[in-house]
Amino acid sequence: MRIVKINAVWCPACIVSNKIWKNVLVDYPDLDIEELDLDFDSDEVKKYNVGDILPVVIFLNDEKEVFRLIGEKTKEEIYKAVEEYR
Amino acid sequence: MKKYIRIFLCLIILCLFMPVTSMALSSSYKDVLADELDIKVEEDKVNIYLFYGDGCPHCASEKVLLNNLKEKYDGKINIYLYEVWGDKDNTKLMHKFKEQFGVEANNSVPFTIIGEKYFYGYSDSVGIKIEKQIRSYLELDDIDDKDTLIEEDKIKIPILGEINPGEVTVGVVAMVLGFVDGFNPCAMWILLFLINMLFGMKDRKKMFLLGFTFLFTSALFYFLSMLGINIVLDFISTNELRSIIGLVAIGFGIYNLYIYFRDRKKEDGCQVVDEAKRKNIIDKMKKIKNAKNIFLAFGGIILLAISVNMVELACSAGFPTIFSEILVQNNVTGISRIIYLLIYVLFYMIDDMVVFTISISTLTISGVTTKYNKLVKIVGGILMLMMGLLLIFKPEWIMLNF
Repeated sequence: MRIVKINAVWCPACIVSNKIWKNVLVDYPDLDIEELDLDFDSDEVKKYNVGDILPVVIFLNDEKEVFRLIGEKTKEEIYKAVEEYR
Repeated sequence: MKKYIRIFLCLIILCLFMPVTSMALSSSYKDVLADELDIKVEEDKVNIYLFYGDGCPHCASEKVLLNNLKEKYDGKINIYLYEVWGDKDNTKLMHKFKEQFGVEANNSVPFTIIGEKYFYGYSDSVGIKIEKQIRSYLELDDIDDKDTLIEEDKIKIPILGEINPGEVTVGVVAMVLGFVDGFNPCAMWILLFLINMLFGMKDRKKMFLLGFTFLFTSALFYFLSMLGINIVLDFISTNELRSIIGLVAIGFGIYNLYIYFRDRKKEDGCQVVDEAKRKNIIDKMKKIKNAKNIFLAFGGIILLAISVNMVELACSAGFPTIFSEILVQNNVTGISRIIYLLIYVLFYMIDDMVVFTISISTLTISGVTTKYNKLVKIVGGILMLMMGLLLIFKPEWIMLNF
């Protein structure tokens, strides 16, 4: 399982979500998370067909997308997704 | 002969005791408009010239007052009316007289001229001044007789002293509209980008200075743009234009409500701005950050703030235009106008300043959430819709004459 997080430095929702993700990493230190920036990693980001809402968190299994979190999510929603797809 | 002397003395005595029913005009009364307008100056009558706009509620109130005064002073007043919003000749005439009196030649009405005095706008206190002026020309200078004058409607406010309730309401409207306008997501992402870019700087002082330069330039640009809109409206303020602004406000309002209903089920988060626009701004910011010369950095940030705000003004011109129209309709000019615009801009910048200060001082953005973005959209939409409807159907409420 691999997780790709797409953020932007100007996006407050990303900053809010990142705080929760810091805690997630403490609880699940073995998670493989790749951080991408919409503006600075634009070539890489293009692969994932990001819509018009940020942040986007994509859960990949053998490089195949299995789930996607779009927008600002609560702590519970993020933990639930990690539990289910890790 | 004795008989004639007796009659003559009797007449003098009679005159002395006769109640004075006729009013003589004061020697200070001089009609400066009569020649120009080809109007006859009657010996015992005061001529009042009222320049008004059709559909202007303040003008309507003044007309009522003048008619009441005409009745009250037993027809000793002649009222001459000139409509200026529809009649171009009358507009020119008013501009000419305004210039003659050293007033800015704009379309603000009502504009009243009595003798050598002029009265700008209308409120209860202007009404009192007009009546006092008429009484003084009619040599009825018993001003102590307060019962006959309309009571001035003023309230006391700490520090500011006595203030007209209308002025207070304009101030409150400035705060509310400025605050709601400030939550415009168009401008927010740029500020957040700036903060993040500045995070990479080790020099905290430089971070503060660059950030505040950006905010200050944005505020100044917004203020000057609003002042510009105000001045333009001053010159072309007509009923049609008021209705057009009303329609535009309704359009903006409906659009905001449409966006709210379209996106209400969409996830909360950050709306991604057009890529080309984003790249352009990001490139400019990188240059500022890497500038070795501090002056180049400041110059760059000022240019960035101006160019960003120029684009964003189009995205958020609704509220500034509505507020400018409110100021014009209320005849707010000069220093008062500048103060109200500053209040508006201050409240417009409040959220930016708070976010910036918190972020820079703690180096993290906390408490920011996008959960309220949709709420702001619907509040802004409803507010614009209401303002638009009022401008068209109930302009006297916009004049804050509740």
